[in-house]
Amino acid sequence: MKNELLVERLFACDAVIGRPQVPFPGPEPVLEDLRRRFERFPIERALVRSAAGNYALHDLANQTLIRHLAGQDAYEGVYQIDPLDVPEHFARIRQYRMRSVSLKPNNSYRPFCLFPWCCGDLYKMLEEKKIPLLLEWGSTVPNELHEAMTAFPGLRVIMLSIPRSGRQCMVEALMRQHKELYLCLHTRFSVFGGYPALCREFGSHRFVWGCGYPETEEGSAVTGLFYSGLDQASLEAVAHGNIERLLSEVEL
Amino acid sequence: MKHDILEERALKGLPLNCLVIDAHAHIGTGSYFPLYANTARSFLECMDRTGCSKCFISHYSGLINYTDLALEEMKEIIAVCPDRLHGYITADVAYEKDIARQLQAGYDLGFRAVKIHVSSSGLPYSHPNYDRIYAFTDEHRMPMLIHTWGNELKDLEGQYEKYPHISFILGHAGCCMKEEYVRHARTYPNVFLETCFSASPKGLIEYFVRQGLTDKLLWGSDMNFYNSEHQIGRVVFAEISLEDKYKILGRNAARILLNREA
Repeated sequence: MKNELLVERLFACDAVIGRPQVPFPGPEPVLEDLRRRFERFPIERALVRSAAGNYALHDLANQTLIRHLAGQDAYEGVYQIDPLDVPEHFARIRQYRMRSVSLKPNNSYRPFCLFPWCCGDLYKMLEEKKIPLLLEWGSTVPNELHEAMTAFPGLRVIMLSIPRSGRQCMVEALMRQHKELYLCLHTRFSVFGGYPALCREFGSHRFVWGCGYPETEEGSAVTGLFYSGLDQASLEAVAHGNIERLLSEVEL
Repeated sequence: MKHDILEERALKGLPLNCLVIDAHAHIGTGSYFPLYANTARSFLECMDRTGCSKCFISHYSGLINYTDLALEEMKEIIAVCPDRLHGYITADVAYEKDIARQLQAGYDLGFRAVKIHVSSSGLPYSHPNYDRIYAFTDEHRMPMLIHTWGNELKDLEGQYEKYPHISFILGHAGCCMKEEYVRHARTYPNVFLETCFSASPKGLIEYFVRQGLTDKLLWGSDMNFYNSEHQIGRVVFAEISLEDKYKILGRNAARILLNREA
């Protein structure tokens, strides 16, 4: 199958496993189900977050993720972090060999914002170590992110779940101003002509790929990329090359 | 991993080699969302990549009470490739005096299907202003694509038997209240379901097939609000038989929208 795939391989950057608040219809999103779904395409690699991260419970998220992903290395856990106790967090990141982190700002249980006065120590560490920070657009206040990336221009941010309703003014403005902001092109970012237009404007090195596991159809994300009309070099970059480069540059 | 022929082609980025008809697309001036591409040419390029041979399009302005502008633009859009681009007739439903004229003007352009959208005027589909549209569609035995988002189904149910010569195609089927969509399609022989839903929730196509509705499903993309390339993957990689995929991607639409067997 490998030689028949349009790209060398697929690397999904937005997978989530564990128990969502409301159970999905169908199989529970655990490693076995993820593997079964991904093998159809095949999606060889993935960054995987824990569903417990949706509650901003970083300790539960990290503990469950480590258990879920034990015994394999194709699917790599994303460390759930918060702005407190940064040195302790970094020690655990090193211990677990996790090369990316996610943050859930503006939540009701552990409220914090993305402004540098709140997360500056965390950004400093992530910038120094070149650790990508994964954020969901829905929990990100654009102005907070703008301030953060202005204060820490080397901070690498991968934005997940960008909206699907046409061109996004705020997303494009942030992309223009912050060279280390990367977008995850995913199942729901279903905007006609969007992939080639964005790659033309910002360069294909600014985009990674996701398939929305477990909520959305992986096949939709695959055809969305494969039929996008991007040239082969851009397809390879978005499908796997960009995220592999970002992770390879992490200094733990 | 064993793949069927459609999956194999999609994984190689090759156009599908079967009949593909897009039952739900939009174009022209008046899009709610800012768009990257909004021309007939961009549609054709996209269709060439996926292997879609025909696309049924309603004009944005025609869905928000500016059908006269829509008619002008649609004439030029369809002329770019009349074999592949097909127009939906629209009418300004809130402006009763214009409805008959606009329906006829669309028909005279050669359009042989009708599109209605509840948000064009805020009037429910059971409002008397829609009667003229239903009657015209029924008289000409045309299919009608209807924007739905669950709640409108109750306003439509009274129309199915009243206008038996209309093929009612419920757009965005299963975006919510999926059981209700199933009930309508099962109960009424002239009700069909169109699949486009940009959220691409897992398993919705399989659900409709399991409910015995394969012959009543039409693939649509909502291009260029949304992306045809994404929407086609929902059917190509659905865990259903190859024969079911052929029906959903094109054969059912050929029967209902083109009035021919494929």
